[in-house]
Amino acid sequence: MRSEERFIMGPKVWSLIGLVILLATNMVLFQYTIESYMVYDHASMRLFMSIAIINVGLIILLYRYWKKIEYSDK
Amino acid sequence: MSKEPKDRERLSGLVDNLSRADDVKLNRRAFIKSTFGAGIALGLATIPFNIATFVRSEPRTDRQFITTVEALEQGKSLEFEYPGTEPSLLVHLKTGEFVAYNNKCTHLQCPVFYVEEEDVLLCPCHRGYFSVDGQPQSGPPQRELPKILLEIENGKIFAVGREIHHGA
Repeated sequence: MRSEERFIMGPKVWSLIGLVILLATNMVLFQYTIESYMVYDHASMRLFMSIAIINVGLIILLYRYWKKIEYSDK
Repeated sequence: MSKEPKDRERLSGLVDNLSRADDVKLNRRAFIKSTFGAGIALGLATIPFNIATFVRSEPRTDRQFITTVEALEQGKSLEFEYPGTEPSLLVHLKTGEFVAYNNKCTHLQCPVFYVEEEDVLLCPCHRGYFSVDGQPQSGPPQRELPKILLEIENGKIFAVGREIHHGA
């Protein structure tokens, strides 16, 4: 008989949550970049781009971490 | 004899190679991979806008005559183009002061209007409100309206420059 499984927030779930948060952040940063571009606010644009690129790095790291765990299960 | 058992057999043959457990797993992986791809794409999509700033030139902010003090009553506004062909709005406040802003909403570039009764600047597209000092008050806009610098000389109003950030 199958016992009742308890849901545990493991590293895979945390990496998924992290990826979704970073995706949402990049969406907002992309919108802000366009808004800044339209009003010639170049300083803000560079700031938003820098944060977005840091986010890209984090996304890659997080994805590789998730992939490592996900595919080592089997 | 009914055809039903035969149909059921045929239909079950179509789905016997599917496993619900595998299906769920595949969907989860596909979702994470899509999230990964979309996150990277959106992050990198900010780069072309920054490159474009080196290519495009800002409109010139030369001194430009707008109107005379007498021509614009208190509580009224006037649209003009500055710098270049960018739409702007000159407002004669109830206090007697003149202010001018680019009248493109900083949310989605809709035109902004002066509402005399409430003494605010309103973007009707998504009901974005700006105070008469150009700061966003409510609604979707998050950043201030670019301010047009004015000079009044012998009853004539001139636009002399533009400030993107002009503080609270």
